[in-house]
Amino acid sequence: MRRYTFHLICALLLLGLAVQIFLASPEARAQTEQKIGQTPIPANILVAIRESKPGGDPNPRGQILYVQSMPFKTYIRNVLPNEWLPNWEAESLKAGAMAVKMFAWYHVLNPVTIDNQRFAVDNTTNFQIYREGTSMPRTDAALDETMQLAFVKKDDTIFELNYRAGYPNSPNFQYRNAQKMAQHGSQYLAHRQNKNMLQILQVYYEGRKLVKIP
Amino acid sequence: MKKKGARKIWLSVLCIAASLTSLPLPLQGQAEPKEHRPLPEYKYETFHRQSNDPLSMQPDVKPGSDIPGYNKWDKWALMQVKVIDSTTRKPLENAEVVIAETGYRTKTDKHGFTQAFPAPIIRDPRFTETLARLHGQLTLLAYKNGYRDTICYNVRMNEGMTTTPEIWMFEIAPEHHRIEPYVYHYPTHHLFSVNLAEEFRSKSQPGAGPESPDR
Repeated sequence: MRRYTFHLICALLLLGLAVQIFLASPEARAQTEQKIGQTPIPANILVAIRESKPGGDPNPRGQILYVQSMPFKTYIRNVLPNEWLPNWEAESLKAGAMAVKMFAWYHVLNPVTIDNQRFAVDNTTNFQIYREGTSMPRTDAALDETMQLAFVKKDDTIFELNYRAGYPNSPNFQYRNAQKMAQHGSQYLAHRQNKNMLQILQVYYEGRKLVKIP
Repeated sequence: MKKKGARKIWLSVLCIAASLTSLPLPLQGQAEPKEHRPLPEYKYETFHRQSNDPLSMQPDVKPGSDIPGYNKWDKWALMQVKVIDSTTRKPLENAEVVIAETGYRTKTDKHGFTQAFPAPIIRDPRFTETLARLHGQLTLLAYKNGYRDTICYNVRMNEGMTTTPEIWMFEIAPEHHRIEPYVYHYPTHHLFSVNLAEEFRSKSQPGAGPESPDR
């Protein structure tokens, strides 16, 4: 019996070490969700620039050419006009501005490593479409009006405010179950049902709230 | 006797080590989170926007007779072009910008901007009205001495707002040969592409499926 006690304790030791390595590693802890007020709005963001298709569009399957650090505000200003149509309703644009910002913020807190390159987002539909020099006064105004606001979980946790294209001329309610906003749906709700930014966001993301960034 | 005592020590050391490893490791540089009190919900309200508010839609633009093609197209909006040096990223003064569809020409100021001018919203007649209504397309040319001529195809013109495209120009260096225009195809908006694919989809080719939240 005593012979086996030694082996048993050794096995327990190994098990304990395995728990430490795989469950309590810094990588695993890094995924911990952060709350608004505990982390400031990012100053910069790391954007991976992928090679373009022959027609000029950034290729989601293209190689990463380089990773660029840029001001967070510059990034979101050059995303919104490429994701939402810039002449859509003001409240649809503001809902889009909130989605683009919160999506980027979440990914700054949860960066990825692909092909040995560490970054928050890339410039394609893998994340959000970013193109340098495409910001427009109207979309910039939508971002400016929402810059001090955040849309978070009830306990203030920052979450990935995801979205998809959806179908034109429809509220796209099927996206509610997936907790994703339909871009076309946001325009439909603003244009046809006169809904404001908060009401649009609440249609697609249930159990969330709008707060002022402290 | 000696052997038994040594074994006992080993056993106690191992027991202590086993209990220590089961404790969570304190991570370096990770401070304990501060106590967090949930923030109050923000009371969001919409307000009436004045006509000069940057988010208000601009009224229809009616070009004067001094604008070439003023009676050729029915929809117009304002455009303001910025020309920059692609190497230094600084604005280029005195670059000439031409709208190929109308022949209208203007020059940039010291900040690299042209004045805001009326430009037509030419909807692509190849597509159905609902699709073509998303935006128009224009062709811009930029000229400046010492720089490659630049052509921008498919610049998106949006109704009810000022479109502000940037044109990047490349300076001609002594080692450059066969100097031809630098061409840039303005990428199609992804929502236009999504809608185009949807418009011609047959029932036998559902793709991701109409209810897919990944579409």
